[in-house]
Amino acid sequence: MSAGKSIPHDSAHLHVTGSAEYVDDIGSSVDQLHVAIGGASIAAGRITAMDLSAVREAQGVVDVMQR
Amino acid sequence: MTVMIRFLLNNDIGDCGACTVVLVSPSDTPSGLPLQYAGANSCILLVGALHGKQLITVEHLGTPTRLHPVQQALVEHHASQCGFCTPGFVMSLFTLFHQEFAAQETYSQPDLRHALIEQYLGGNLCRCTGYRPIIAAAEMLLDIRLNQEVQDVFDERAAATARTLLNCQQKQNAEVTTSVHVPTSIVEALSLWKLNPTAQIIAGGTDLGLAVTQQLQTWPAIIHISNVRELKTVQHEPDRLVVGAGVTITELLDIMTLDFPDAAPMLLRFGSEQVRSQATVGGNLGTASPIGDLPPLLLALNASIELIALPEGSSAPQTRIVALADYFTGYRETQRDSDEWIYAVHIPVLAPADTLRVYKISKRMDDDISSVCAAIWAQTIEKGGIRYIQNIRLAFGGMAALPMRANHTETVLQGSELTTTVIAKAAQALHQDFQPIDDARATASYRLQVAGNLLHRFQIELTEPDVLTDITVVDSCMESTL
Repeated sequence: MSAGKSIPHDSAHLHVTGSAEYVDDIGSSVDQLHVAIGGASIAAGRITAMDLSAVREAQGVVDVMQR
Repeated sequence: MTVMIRFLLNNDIGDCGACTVVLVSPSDTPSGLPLQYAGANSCILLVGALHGKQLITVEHLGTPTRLHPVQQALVEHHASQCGFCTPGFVMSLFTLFHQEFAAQETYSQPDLRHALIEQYLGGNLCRCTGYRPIIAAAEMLLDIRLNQEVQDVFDERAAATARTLLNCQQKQNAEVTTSVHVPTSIVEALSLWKLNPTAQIIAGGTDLGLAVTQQLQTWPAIIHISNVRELKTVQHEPDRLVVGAGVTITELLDIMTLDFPDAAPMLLRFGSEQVRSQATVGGNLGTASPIGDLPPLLLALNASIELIALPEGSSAPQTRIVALADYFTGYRETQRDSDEWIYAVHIPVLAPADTLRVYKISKRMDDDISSVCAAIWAQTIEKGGIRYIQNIRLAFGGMAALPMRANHTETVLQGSELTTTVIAKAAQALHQDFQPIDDARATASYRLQVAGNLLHRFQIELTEPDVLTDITVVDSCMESTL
């Protein structure tokens, strides 16, 4: 527990030396997969069915995950 | 030459300070000591600005396991959150750490210390941690520097660094065939320009740098004039101060603090420390912006501008002097001919009884552009409890397409009593002098309102000196009572 204790930011020593790594600075790997998130296009409603076959068939799509 | 650069870039316009680097120059002494440390925004810094200077970036200070005192202070005070702005704060505090403190006892006074810290951090924006822990780190840093005389590796190497830099500066410049020139004399600079008429002339580059980063301009060649010694000279003559066009705003601030102390508060709000260290007097006049901060001040002081050119087939430059009031002719138009450069500014000295006030109105206190800038020079006399204006010059920026005097308003005030009734008339006369525009900084009606209010403020300051009119003073009074 850190309550009541003064603990430095775990990246502070990296921030002050200009060596902190930001996501945008990390290079891409070979064959790196990218994730695209699809959301609802309306603010409220009940999902009765989803047809994602066109997404699955799109070029380069490896997998479609739903919950 | 090996250059190691991995600083963070944020906005590319010299506004946020995240990419601050430090340039170290030798002093004008035989040993080159003490070294002069200046923060600069690297996003708009062109490589010619590095000639004869030591470039220090955040990577040179310390490593994550061996921190520099500046870095240690920030870690200990929890002064970083996302950390994106932190390297810039490190470098600004590093500049502060290395400043020569002529009067150490002055900086032991909390108010002055706080003002000094704000001066050095005014060009760095943080959007998550907040400034309180950063300022606390700065306070501790000044304390250990001044009271415990903590030194760093840059202090230990100072003499050797100064020798190296002096040697660098004496070396021959880049060959004429390359596209970057760093001449050291005015004749050399003007001759180079004759040979490269399409070359871009750059001094501090705090404005022109944006042409590269924002408008993606490219230039066939660049002539950096920041090392031209004639442009760096300052002459104190009995009736005037002659300031070379290449004198930086930081250097001008030192001069003005002595000779025109009432101009200093505005100059401390000119850009930021990183901008003031690079920007020059000639650059601020040369860009001829209606919202530059020097023109109103220099117009109110009745300054003149000295222009220089190298006549065809001659090696002897010729100069001419133009009154600044005649110099600006339209929006970014001036009397300067296409073969002329700004050489110097001639500023008449103040008589002891002269009054000078310069008011800058902007959305932020630091690192911002004027919505309205007003400069007032006056000679007044008190007779029978009433203060009369004998002579007055009023100059405004942000009120028209060019920086200009308010002639109608001056006529109303000339020879009049300095009373609320007269000031109200003068504020009305401003409508004859100016038809300002609406833009992102202010509306036309706001500009006219605030310009009139500044005349009122001037009246209060002269007739009721006990009334507090300076928001920065009011601020520090409030802080000390909290």
